[in-house]
Amino acid sequence: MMITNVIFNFTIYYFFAYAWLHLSLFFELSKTTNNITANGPWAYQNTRSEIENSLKWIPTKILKFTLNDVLLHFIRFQKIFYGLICIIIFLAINSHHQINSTFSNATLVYLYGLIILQFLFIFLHYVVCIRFRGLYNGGSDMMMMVIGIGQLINLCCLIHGHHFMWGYLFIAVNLVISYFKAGLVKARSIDWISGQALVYFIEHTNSRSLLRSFVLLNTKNMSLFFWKCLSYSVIIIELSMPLALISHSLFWFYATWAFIFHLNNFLIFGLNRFFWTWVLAWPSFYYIFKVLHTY
Amino acid sequence: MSILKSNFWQLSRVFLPHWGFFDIIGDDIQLYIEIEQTRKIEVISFLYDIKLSNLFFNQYAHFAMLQKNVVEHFVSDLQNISDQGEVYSLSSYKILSQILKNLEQVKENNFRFIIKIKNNNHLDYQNYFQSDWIRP
Repeated sequence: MMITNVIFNFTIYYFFAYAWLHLSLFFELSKTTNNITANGPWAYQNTRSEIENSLKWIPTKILKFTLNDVLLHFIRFQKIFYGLICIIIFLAINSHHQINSTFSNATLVYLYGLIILQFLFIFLHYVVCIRFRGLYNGGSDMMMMVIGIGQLINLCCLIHGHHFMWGYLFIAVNLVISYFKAGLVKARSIDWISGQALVYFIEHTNSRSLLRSFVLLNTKNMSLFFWKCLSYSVIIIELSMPLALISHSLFWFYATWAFIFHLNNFLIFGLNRFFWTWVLAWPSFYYIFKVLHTY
Repeated sequence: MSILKSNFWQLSRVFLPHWGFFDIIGDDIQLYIEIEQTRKIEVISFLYDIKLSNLFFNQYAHFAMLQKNVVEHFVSDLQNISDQGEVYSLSSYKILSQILKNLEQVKENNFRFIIKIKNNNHLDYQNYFQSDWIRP
């Protein structure tokens, strides 16, 4: 029973999280719409040949329609988009109540509605990624896509009455791999081992923030040994992330570390979407932890 | 083209993502513009401020990073072309030129952009690319 409750609470949480990620993405896009209109740098004609050469199997008219017209309309008529987000939240809350009481045909309608909207959001996000050549939010696009696909898998699990939400396993595995791979890359890099990579990234970022200024001011006073220790701690924690599944205290240690790590990345580099996508992916890991420690 | 292809396939491979984009120090790239009329050369940095409220919406930072990424991808595209004549048909070149055309410094002036790179083998920035004059 406890696990069932956890599943329901997580499901509703993830719809709010996913709605939030898309809301912030499209709000930010809407503030810079001029960049993808005909006179902007990312005008369709500027990337057209590249896109058409890469996606030869899709007719050019369909490409232009989806990558240009649909996207521009969605951004211009933001109210439709915000309306869809409200519908997602409405459906999620209703399906949540329905599943908690009785699983009826109405529940199925809500769940199928959520699947359709989920597909639509994944599709729109995909269009944004292609349009900006995969650069709009960098790696966080990937995690956002993972969360979206994970949610789709969970909806299918709910429809088929599964008690184990495979989507959360999918998100959690990807979360752990992302940290592990990042740790592995750093462990192989001489710059990271020597501690110089951190100094380089802080010095060369284009952001201007209070924390960065403070760190820059003190960089000269801090010995390379300090940066070396910091680098080693990041590498060790990232590589040992799967150990979070061992015990409750270890899980919360890693979760707190991740929260502070991503918050720092925002405060120094301005990577707010990295913060949200990674922090919002953590509850999946908690779900897997809970399942492992319940059975 | 390879960039889009790789990104497209990476995104298509969402069931088994790549996660291989982290934390490598690349070459240090500097972008300059030169105004034809004044012959003034100016370094272009896409700077952005961070406030705590930007944790929720951070469009200016994303846009600045996006512009910086275009410069890096243009350099990467340059390494993959066989004929120098292809430069002007590159999407990254078109996007970068358009970004620079919108800058306050170049309005109503002909300009060209220069890319300099400093890698591990050099102490100073070396000239890497210089475009033709571009009309506003």
